[in-house]
Amino acid sequence: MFDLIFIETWPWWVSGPLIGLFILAFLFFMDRPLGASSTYQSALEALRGKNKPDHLDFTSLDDKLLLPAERKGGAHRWRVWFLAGLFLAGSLDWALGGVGGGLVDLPGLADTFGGMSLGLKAILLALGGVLIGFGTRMSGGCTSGHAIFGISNRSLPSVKATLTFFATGMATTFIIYFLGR
Amino acid sequence: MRIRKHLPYLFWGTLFGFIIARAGAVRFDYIRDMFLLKEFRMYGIIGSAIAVGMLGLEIFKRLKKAGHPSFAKLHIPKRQGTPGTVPGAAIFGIGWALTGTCPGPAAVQLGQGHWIAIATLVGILIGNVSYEMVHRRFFHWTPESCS
Repeated sequence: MFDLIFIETWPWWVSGPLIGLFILAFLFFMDRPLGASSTYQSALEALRGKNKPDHLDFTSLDDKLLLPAERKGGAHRWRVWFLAGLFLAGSLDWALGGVGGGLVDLPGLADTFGGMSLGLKAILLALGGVLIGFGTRMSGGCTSGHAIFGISNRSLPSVKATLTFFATGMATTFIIYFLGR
Repeated sequence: MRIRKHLPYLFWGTLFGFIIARAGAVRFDYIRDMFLLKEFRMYGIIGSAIAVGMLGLEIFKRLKKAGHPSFAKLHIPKRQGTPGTVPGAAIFGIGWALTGTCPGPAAVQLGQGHWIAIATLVGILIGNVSYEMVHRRFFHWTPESCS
């Protein structure tokens, strides 16, 4: 049983339900809905010093979730800790023998963009990153907030968002993959 | 003390990150094969996560309505959506395909020692800043946060 944890890739019927249980536990114990993309917004706010008057207020929905003691400011700082946890998890995965740990490049990036130099690939990833940052803030969520928590919560906007990003993602991948060869 | 209030989130972030790392949801090639319809894995992961989550949230909501002491205080808000929900998702989808990464996994990848993920992370931060500027200049709705 114990060494099952050390299998490098868990089967989908283990990891999927675990993610489902995670959002339930996170909601039950911390009273927070899952969401990853907004951790970057919080990291930015932490970098710039919180609650500058000209900051965009991304809290319309979040405010309802804040505990009264948190409302005054620095309320989203917990998200920065969550983000740090994600980073830590990657290192833990590497330390416990996960697939491809320690490789500078991403597994599979080379055979999609074969022949590209590492620098060129980094520029491509950065461009994609800009689209991720821009798009998730505009949409108000990503795979975790919209697809997993949003649909679980039967939020119609999240269903629309999920169908949309799957459609454009699929179209983009097909274009890259088939025009590239 | 603020640290003591926030430290649990480090644990929750680590737990979530480790699950998605071992799920393979942080891998460029798995995301690519999902979009190319070559691999069922990611659909199985997302689908079963939603199935378990939806069932659980339904039970949570019933218990909350019934006034169960542990559930009555929970906040389970429905999204309202904004005019940006769908166009933003369209833009995110393109970025997701290019990088093979959604926001959570980008941080996990860097932790795994994939230094190239710094490019994705810097891009995400630039994207956040540029959206703020564009939003302030052109849009007139209140942005929703990812929750």
